[in-house]
Amino acid sequence: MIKELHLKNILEVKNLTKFYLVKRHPFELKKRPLPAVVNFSLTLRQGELFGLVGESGCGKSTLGKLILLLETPDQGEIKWKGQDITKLSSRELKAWRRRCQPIFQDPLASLNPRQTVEQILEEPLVVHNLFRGKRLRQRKITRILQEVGLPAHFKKRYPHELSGGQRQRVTIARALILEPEFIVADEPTSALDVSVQAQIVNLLLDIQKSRNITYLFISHDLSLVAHIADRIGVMYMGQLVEIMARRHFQTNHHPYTECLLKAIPSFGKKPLSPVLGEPPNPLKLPPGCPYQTRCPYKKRVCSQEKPALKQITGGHLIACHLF
Amino acid sequence: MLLRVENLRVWFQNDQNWVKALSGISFELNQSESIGIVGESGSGKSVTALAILRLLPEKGMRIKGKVWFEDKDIYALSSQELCRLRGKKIAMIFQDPLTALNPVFTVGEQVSECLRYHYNLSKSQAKEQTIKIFQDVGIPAPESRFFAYPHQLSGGMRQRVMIAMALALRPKILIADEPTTALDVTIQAQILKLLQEIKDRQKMSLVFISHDLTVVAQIVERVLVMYAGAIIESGSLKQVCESPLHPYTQGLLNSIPRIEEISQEKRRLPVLCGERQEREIGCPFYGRCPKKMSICLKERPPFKEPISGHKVACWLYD
Ligand SMILES: Nc1ncnc2c1ncn2[C@@H]1O[C@H](COP(=O)(O)OP(=O)(O)OP(=O)(O)O)[C@@H](O)[C@H]1O
Ligand SMILES: Nc1ncnc2c1ncn2[C@@H]1O[C@H](COP(=O)(O)OP(=O)(O)OP(=O)(O)O)[C@@H](O)[C@H]1O
Ligand SMILES: [Mg+2]
Ligand SMILES: [Mg+2]
Repeated sequence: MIKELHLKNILEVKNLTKFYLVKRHPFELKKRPLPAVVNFSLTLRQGELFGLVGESGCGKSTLGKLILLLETPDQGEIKWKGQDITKLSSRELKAWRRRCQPIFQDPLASLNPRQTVEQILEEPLVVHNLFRGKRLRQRKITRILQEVGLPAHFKKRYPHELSGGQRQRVTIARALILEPEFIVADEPTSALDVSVQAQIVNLLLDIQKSRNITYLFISHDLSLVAHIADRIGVMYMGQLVEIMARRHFQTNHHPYTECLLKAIPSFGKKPLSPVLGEPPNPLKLPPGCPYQTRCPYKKRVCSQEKPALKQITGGHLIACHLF
Repeated sequence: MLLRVENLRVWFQNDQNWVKALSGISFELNQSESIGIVGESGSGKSVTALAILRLLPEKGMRIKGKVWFEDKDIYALSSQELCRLRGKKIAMIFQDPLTALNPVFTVGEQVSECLRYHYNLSKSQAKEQTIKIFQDVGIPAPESRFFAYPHQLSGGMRQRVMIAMALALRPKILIADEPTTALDVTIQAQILKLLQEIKDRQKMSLVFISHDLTVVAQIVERVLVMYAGAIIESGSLKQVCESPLHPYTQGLLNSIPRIEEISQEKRRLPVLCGERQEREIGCPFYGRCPKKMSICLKERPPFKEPISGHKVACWLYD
């Protein structure tokens, strides 16, 4: 509790909004705006692991891409240590890209199949003009491979000669080699088996500790995130419906979080019958609360007014008219 | 006995070499029983499922062993008999419904064609039947969904269509290969509930395949744990999940982040170290095993039954 107060705010996202223009079918002339991220505000603190969860299509990856500046927002600002990074010059942008590194779900797709591990790891050093000279770079690469738990002779291997877990270690090494302060990890373990997942997650936790890195950890797996995150955000239809710290996990939650928790399979319990149906079509969201179409506690006000994120107790925020 | 798999071995050709994918799978399935097959990626779960239905490619594949359905040897059936068996006696649903559904026909057409082929129904009878089945599997507005193309449906709806198609012919056995892996937890819970209801209602047997033991635990009575192409542990759900015998199963259960065990303090997850390596002799789990002994390197452990109904292939229980 006291520790939290001392943590510095490092990234501030304010009212971030992103619409994609989509056609409902290939022959439609008119494109419709699909809200992927809507009025999203979030503050990350130095050195924390913030877990962002939600169903497929709720906008988690879009948020990650916006922060990585791989997509441009329609509205809102992203501040890193007080500076708005959406308005950077190209030089400042390069520096930002070094500080903030991505790790994606599918390591095979994000690694060049024609490069060896060594070339993959050397490239960012060359691009950013770090560790000049082959010898220095070599030493750095060996050290980083060791840090992510790969033997040095893996340098000469190609991605297809590695297992899924080893590939993910290479992408982590590639992210770490630039000594970033912030990592956006978008479902880094979704393609892996549970036993390998545990290894990778532990590696990320060790790095968090040893290097004081801040993480935005995106996942659809609430039970995984609940084990490893310092704080958790629950996203629904492009919006945050709940933000909580670890210590709020056993308390009351947003009806959607409650439903996610109930739907997680576990031993010794049969799946409770979740009443809710399918998520609504994002192109046809009703006014008011985005969750009203599936919510068992829906009241009149829910279809009239959109609930804002409100503080329930210190550091626990919920966007719901019930609270 | 409805289904009996006897010492099934499968090899695939890789360049000039034959690589073993299954090394001696045996199990039995009774009427209205449900078993789960769990194991990590590449352990041979799908190959087992496909081998039962004789769906493995004939080129570059070698198979030994027997699969019995009732009293018939599936690998001795004529192609016509095999056609009748697939779908009508044993049906299968696949992990990715989009690849299993034909994109150019509406989902209604696909299910009703299947009914017409097997039952000689008229077009309108088949359509009526299809709409009824759609209703049974919980597809809202089934009349209008009849005319939907696969890509117009959500992942959960497509999986319901797959289930509808599999159930249309009232099979005795349903083999479900990772039917919920591509779905969100909320939709997964709905599909699991649906499968459970249908199983109970139709007294159908179920083979449920997943890499996730917690998912399997929601629906089956008996579990087979696979590792490197072999069954290394089998028993009732309770036996395997509450008192696992094999070090692999123990490690697997440990590394699952369980929602009941969230603590105030953040901590690392317990891990099962290392990754699978191919081994010709000895125990396939040797390289990763925390309890390995010298015999494990030399000889493959036999599949024994140290506790009634609970089998394991591990030298610790010899
Ligand atoms: N490039 C794009 N063009 C059009 N629509 C897009 C694009 N990228 C994403 N979308 C849409 O935006 C919404 C949010 O997508 P996003 O990928 O952020 O979801 P997600 O939460 O990461 O889901 P998942 O868990 O499946 O990865 C979805 O409805 C998606 O279809
Ligand atoms: N048609 C094929 N040709 C060659 N090898 C194959 C073929 N099908 C499967 N294999 C190999 O057989 C082994 C077992 O594969 P299988 O698909 O049964 O794994 P699985 O347990 O279903 O894994 P997953 O959880 O990833 O679906 C793998 O090593 C795979 O590469
Ligand atoms: Mg995503
Ligand atoms: Mg498979």
